[in-house]
Amino acid sequence: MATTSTVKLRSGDNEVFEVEKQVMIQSGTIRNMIEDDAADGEIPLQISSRNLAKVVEWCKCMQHRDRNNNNDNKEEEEEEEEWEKKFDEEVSEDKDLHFGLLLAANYLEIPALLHRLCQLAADIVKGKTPEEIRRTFNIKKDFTPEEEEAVMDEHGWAFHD
Amino acid sequence: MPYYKIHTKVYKEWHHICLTILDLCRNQVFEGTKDEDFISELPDDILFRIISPLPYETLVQTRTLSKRWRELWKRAPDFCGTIDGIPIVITSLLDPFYRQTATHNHREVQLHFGHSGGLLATIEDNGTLHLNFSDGGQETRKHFDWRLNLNCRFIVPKAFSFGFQSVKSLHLNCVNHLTKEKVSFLISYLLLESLHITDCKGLWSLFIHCSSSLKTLKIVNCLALRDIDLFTDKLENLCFQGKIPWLWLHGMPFLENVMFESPPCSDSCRPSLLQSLVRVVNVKILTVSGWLFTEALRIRPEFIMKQNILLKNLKELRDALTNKVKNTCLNNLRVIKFENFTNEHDEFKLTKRLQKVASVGAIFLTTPNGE
Repeated sequence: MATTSTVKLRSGDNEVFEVEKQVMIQSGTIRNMIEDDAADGEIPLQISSRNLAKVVEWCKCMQHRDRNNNNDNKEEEEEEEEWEKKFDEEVSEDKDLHFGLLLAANYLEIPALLHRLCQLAADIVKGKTPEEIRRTFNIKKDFTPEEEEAVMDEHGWAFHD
Repeated sequence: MPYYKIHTKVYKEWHHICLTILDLCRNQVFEGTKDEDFISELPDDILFRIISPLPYETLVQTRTLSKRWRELWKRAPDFCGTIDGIPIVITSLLDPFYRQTATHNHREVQLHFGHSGGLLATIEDNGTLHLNFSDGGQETRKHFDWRLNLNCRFIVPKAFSFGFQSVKSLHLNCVNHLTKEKVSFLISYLLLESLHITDCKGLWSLFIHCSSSLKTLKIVNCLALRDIDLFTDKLENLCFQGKIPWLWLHGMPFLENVMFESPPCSDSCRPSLLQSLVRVVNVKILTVSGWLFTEALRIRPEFIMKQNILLKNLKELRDALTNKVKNTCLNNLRVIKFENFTNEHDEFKLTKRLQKVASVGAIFLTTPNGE
């Protein structure tokens, strides 16, 4: 078994984060490393320091919440809710951060974070026309005219209410 | 113009120019990140997770975004579970309410259940449900008997809501002894008009009781099948491909189209088939393999002789008739199609005979050349 209670994560731009193992076992990737005793040195990750900081922050918050689940501390509960709301807002407004975190959560195997981020992305897409979605995410319509016609024909009914 | 007025105008214009430059600068700053299409660079798995909770219409529309997105919406999510999960997975596929609220909004779903195989379920917009099982590479097949009750007289449990009512046609592929119970349970809630059973290689005997709307039954390539028992009083079309089993048809007043495509075999089951066919009185189109017809005439000449029973309303007799037709009288026979005839001499003789025996005047003879 590993002797220390913390794990060191090195971001893609060489910033080191020292985090409690208890916090980082939410990540399947890191949990496996800890279990295999491969987490004693620094763990290099292809994640920018900005995104990694956010992931760590999120993991800390979740772990804190889980630990305090049994307590009826209203103040702390509100605080956590406030934090989550802020997190949602920040992510929804910053696509760079949003998709960076999505990739990070996928890479680190943090299902709850991945789910949350996907949900936020779905909320952005929801209720938008294809044109609006394209504008929101800078998606280029790269169909040839023939392809576009074929695509439109495939499920014509989907365009009628 | 007074000085201060010019000043105001210039100031306003200047202010406007400044704002424009500021805007341009702002855009410039963001250009590096803002114009990039981050979302399309995400892996398929993540993109599908994002779009799968969307309402179905929006989900389908995402295929028009770009080439990258075109096929994404169709992706089948994978589940790992046990055979017991089959009903839940299929419910999630069928129930439009469930589809819109849960995270599984799709037309196709895959379930893996360990060594005993997997299931790929697909629903089409026309109400056709495909359940394709794979046997997980099992070498030895266990034979099994299958009783299917499709009565639908009882009330569908709430858990299954209305999704189940929209399935009109069911295609079952490779059901094996492990999955048959789950499938039976599911389809007892379907209001089926059409049932296709294909490649169920361990299927030994099949019993179908359906007093509801089943009109078409097709059984293809179930190699071990020894007997079929059918109580389906609304059945109109019956199609069977494969080695002919014992066949029991019970009271089928609407059966119009019967097709038997089978490889020649020395099977003791043939008499039962003929017996059954004799009982089916209203068949209008009967398609049989040439050898079967020959056999029919050899084993039971009355198969044709009793045309007043068997061929009462028979309008078309497809496929090869042989020259063994002798003194028969085919009432109401209107169209005969000759297929797979190699011997012109035989064909000519048969034609002559048929002309003698059939109710003359309204008979069309069609040869493979269309003559």
